[in-house]
Amino acid sequence: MAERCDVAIVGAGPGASIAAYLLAKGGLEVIMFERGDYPGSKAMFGGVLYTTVLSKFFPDFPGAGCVERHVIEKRFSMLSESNELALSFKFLDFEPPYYNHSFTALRAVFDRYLARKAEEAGAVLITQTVVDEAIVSDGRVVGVRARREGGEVLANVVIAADGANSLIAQSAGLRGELPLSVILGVKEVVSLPREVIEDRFSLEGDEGAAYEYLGGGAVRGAMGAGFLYTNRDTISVGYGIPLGALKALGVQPDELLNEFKMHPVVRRLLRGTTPEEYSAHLIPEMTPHDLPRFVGDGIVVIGGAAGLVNANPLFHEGTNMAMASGVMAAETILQAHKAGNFSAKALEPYASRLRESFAWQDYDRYQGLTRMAETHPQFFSKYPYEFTRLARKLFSVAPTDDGMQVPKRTLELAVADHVLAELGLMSLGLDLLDVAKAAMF
Amino acid sequence: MAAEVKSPSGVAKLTGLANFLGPPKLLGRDDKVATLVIKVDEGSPHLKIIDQGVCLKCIEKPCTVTCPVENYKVEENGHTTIYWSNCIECGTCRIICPFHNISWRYPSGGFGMTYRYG
Repeated sequence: MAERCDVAIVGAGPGASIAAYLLAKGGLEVIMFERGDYPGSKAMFGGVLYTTVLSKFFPDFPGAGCVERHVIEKRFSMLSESNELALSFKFLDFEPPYYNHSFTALRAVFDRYLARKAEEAGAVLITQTVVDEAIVSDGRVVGVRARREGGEVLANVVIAADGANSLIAQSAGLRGELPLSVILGVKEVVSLPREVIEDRFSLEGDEGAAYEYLGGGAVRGAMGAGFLYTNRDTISVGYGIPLGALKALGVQPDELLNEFKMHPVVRRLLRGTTPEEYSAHLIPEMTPHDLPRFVGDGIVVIGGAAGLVNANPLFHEGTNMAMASGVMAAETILQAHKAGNFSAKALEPYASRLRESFAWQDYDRYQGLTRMAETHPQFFSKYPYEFTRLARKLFSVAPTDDGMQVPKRTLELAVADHVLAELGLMSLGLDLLDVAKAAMF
Repeated sequence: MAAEVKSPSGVAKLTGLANFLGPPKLLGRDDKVATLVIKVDEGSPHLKIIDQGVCLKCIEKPCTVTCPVENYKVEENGHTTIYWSNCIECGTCRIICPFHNISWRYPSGGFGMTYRYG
């Protein structure tokens, strides 16, 4: 006789745990499966957690030690081989305790915090247990099959919260193979005393910084971006690159990480650091066409499993979307439970609410930009280098043979000449137009 | 490193920072893997090549350059070997293989890689 519960959740990440918490509070029997030793033990993200949804349910989270630093600086830079052109935004006027709802975090810490909240509400967490597939009977999902003796668990609803690779969504027939637009995130957590971090990045107390490096010298001009986020006494340093671009580049991901760390600009920020942990994980960036269906008979798909990310380096969001989708899934399931109907039709309000929310809207808007970028490799292979070169031309303080200095007018002309000769006004204009078009729709 | 400065205000000189001004420590692939806790399910590979014949005909072999822990190696006889015990379970090989020739699943519960930071 197989075990029974109301809701079986595969995964114990942020989306899973917040859903489990709400369902258990609503009086349902919830089992959450985690394949690792503890929630977060197999999870990795770049490092900034956006806490709008989280703070609504767990207003005390900042004091719980589950996050690292609140971000007060977002910095975007373009790298050439040895120069940098950067734009920094510092925001010092957001109020505690949530500031700008942007906190650096580590998943092995944060996921455990949130899963504990679900357990306290009554959800059952089963660790060290892999779920290989959904049990499908007469076209509807009726439970999950865990890889252990007597591992069949029947449930009214299964929540596929098993992240980017979502084998559960696939086994339930909700999506096909993952495309090469999926991004590989590669990272190291490196240690440095907190006082040194605060001094080096100009931070006071628990303030943190988020640096993004767009294309150019960060990842050999490929479509991708490097990042550097300050934690309490560690720094998360790494990059993301679509699998298709990585394949074309033909360089080992671990070597590419060392190369990024040793970029003359990045190296200076990482002086004295010691690697504590290497990691790599997929970011499910894909077209709407490649996304899974969010709902089937007896199943909903949330978070990374549903492809809900905004991988644009301006924003880099995902865990917040996972939590939002977890909330909407749980609320829909509570309604379905009342009605005693768990068909795809009864669960459909989850999908429609999702599509009205920021999670879908932001995904949809920025995946459009990503599609445009895929056909414009020059945004990564050319412009970061060229714009940096322009800055170098303009700001070069050059002596002349007669012991004087090159006048600014000459430098300006050199810049104008470079724009015309190397960049081409026409192609630059067309590219900007393409960005504007992609951003408008 | 910090020079002793006799400032009029008598601000103390900085000590200790010199320890953190050297170049960042870099790790090679083996040492990167060594930063992780990996419990190997001896004798039960979770990754397998389905058909070596397919690998022999594969020209690009993208698995060998995209695996973040370099677990795919082409042997002298042309066969592809997966050094699966170092796997960090990302899923790249599963997607990158043009022929879907890798039987891919997660290590059994309690095995495989564990992040302490993540």
